[in-house]
Amino acid sequence: MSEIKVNSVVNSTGDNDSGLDLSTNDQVIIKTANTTALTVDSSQNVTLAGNLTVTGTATGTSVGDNQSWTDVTSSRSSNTVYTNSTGRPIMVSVGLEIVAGGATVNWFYVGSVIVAMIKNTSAELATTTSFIVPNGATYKHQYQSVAPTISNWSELS
Amino acid sequence: MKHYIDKTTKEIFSYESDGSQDDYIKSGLVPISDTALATLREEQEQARLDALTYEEKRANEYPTIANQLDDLYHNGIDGWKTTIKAIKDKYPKE
Repeated sequence: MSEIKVNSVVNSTGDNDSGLDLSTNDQVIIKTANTTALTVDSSQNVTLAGNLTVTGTATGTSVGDNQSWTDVTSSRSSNTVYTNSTGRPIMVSVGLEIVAGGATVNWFYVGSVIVAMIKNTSAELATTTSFIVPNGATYKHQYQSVAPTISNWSELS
Repeated sequence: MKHYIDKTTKEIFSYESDGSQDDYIKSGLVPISDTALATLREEQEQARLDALTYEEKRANEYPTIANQLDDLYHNGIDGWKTTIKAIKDKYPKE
């Protein structure tokens, strides 16, 4: 097994601004113990085989980082399935005004799972609920009986 | 937004009209026009209301407690009973 010791690796015409530039490679793989630990593919996606430990500050990864709230009330309806195609998890906040009555139940689904339920009995009810939708997942508001008014529907995306 | 329907479940799906979500459109869904969508929503809404029991229909139509107390104050017990009876008669016991 040969071994190369260099301070930097650049391509033949490189300007030395990177430590490793394998411009013709489809992917870069780092192995430990003869097992792939990290892969950078041609779309700049990075895959880690093990756990990621961050000792500094991780930015751009949490819900809310580089995201902003948008009022989408005018383009949302009950009993309609929507899809999070943003590439990141989003947070959804929905405000409902429910008339007095004994039969109205509201469910919020992410995929086929109920993540929030609101039921009113005899009094009028105005309330807000929030939930997170993973990337690629669908979400919807569904109700039984009398239609509530969606006072606001906002999404952090 | 553009809309699709699952012909089997009648579930409505909504996607961005600029095509950015086309890869997410479930196979088997059928496009539905805005006019047809509005008609479908009305039909589904009516079906939901028709499915209510007489108790649920009454409960949804009774005035709020505050308004019933106001009715009592202004119209007395007979006036209040008239209000309530009209709803009971509208949705008789099944």
